[in-house]
Amino acid sequence: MTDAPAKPDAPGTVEKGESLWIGAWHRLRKNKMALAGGAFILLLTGLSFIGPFFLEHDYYTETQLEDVLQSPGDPYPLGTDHLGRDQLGRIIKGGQISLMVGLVATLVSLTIGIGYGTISGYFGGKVDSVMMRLVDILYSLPFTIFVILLMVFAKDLGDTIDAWFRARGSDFSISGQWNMLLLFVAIGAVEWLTMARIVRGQVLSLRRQEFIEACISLGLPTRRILFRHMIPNVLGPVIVYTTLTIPAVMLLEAFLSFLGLGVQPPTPSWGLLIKDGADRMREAWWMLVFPGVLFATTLFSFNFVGDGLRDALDPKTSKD
Amino acid sequence: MSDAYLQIDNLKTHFPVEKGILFRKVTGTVKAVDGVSLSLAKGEVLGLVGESGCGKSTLGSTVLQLIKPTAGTVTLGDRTLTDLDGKELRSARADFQMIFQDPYASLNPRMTVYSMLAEAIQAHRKTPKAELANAVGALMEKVGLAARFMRKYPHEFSGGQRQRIAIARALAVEPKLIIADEPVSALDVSIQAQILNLLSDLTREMELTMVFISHDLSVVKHISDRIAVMYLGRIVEIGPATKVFEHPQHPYTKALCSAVPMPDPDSESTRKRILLPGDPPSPLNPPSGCTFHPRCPHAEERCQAAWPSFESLNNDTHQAACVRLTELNQ
Repeated sequence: MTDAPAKPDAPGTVEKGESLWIGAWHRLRKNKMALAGGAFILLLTGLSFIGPFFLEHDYYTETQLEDVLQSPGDPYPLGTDHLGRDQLGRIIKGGQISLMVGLVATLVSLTIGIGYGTISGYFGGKVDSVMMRLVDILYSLPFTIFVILLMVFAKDLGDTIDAWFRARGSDFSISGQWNMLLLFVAIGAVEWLTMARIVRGQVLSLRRQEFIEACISLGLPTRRILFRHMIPNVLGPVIVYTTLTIPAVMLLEAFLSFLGLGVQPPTPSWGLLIKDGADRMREAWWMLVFPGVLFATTLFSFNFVGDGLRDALDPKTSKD
Repeated sequence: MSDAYLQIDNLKTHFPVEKGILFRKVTGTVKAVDGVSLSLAKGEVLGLVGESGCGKSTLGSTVLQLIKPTAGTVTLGDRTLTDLDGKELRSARADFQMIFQDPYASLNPRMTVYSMLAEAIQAHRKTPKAELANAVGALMEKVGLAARFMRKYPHEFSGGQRQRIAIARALAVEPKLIIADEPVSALDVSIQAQILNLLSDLTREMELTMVFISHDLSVVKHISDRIAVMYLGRIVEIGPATKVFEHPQHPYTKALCSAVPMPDPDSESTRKRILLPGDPPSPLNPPSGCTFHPRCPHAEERCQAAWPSFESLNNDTHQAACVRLTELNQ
């Protein structure tokens, strides 16, 4: 991170200082819930992305029509669904998709939000007014409807793009990933608004701090002030908000998939699995309970980590 | 003064007061600095005193071009700072630096002393990486800090040490003019003396010209060659430090000086205080004429007419802006 400058070849013994990041880590380490949440997320991520290597090739789409709706038991530890697909495999693949959507869409919102908020807050005045009014307008759009409209109308765009490339003799194809791509864009595009507001507020208050004035007075270039002085100092609240955005995004994906607008079958996501389970809740409880519990636990974990990080990074509790 | 190094001419900084959400209308102006002229010789230390809200800090920031002035010029050496812009201004900033009031807010909490000072050194002079550590070390020793602390973070230092770091950062670009904006008011009294001594040693050693802003008269007296007293955006009295202190001429300066407590209990008990009625008026809507007249114990009708010009009693550099200067100082 920014607090690791090149090692100076100083004469004598140089005492090393403890950065605020290290201090925050020490505080976070004392928070058992946050640690447990973090460990669970790491475990889950590992399982979803490494697990498939130990399973058969099309573990999540392969149907066994003679094994339809098997309850948890010998060959299928978590049972099978209505098409006889292994529920364990589908949950693993679904976790992969859900976590990926959560991370990538959050990353999209993070990048746009930090850039937008920093510029708006730092330059202030008219620039700030115009940029923030735009955010207000986007905020006032009913965002679920916006995402739904985007998903419905842009759905065929992927095929159009493919056709365009095919017409030019290229075998480039994105229609396979188009739906996922659209999902990232749609969710990222609505989630960055809050991030931009948070960053802008932080930058606005930082700008009045004397150390930023000192930078201007030193004649440092604006880019350096933004990247070396502003952004590292807004990172605390941003990290906290990020850990809280990931579960929100996952929930949104689950919601869209539940409506049939998100991830397209046969690719599973936790939202889709829960939808399938909810449809057959009476005859096959395992189809709803396993993905449901896993999803809830994941959301809990992210929230615990977020809470822990907030306590650890809060400037009021830091020894400043 | 022809040998002036820093020349401030009729400097004004007005802030518009805006109302309305969509269509912002200017409903008034705050005249934070309203026509200040000063000149400082090279190596001179000018103390700038006044109560809070009188525009001292705004004046400092305006001189350093951290705030754009509404009118007037600032000339440093042979360069007119108020004419500079963008890149020119940025490279000119090597010549003038600011020391801030709050050593807890003026240092980036996420950077080590080394990276902070190295950044300042490199702001205007390309220095090879190998020499940087030595340069930073030398800078730290200059302000009385051990070089082995260079890898520490601001929160690991005390207030006084932090202010030393801030001073080191200001000195890193080898400036010629320093504006110290209440550099000791956030510190303990015992530390104040150390920082003041450091500053006055450094100004002598490096031939720095300094404007020392403070609301604490005893602090200013200690360090300044000359003192300027500010009231509501204007200078009301200026002169050699000892003269202003021992023989204040303007009624406002007299009241200020009478408010300084004395360490000796006997003289403290006989000290005559001049109490000013009321609060300082709002700079949004300043009184006409001499802005001090509503609170002045000697105000007359003519005080409301026009801002008085500077006059000197003995034809020397000690000047005050009061129409009744001669009658009141007999």
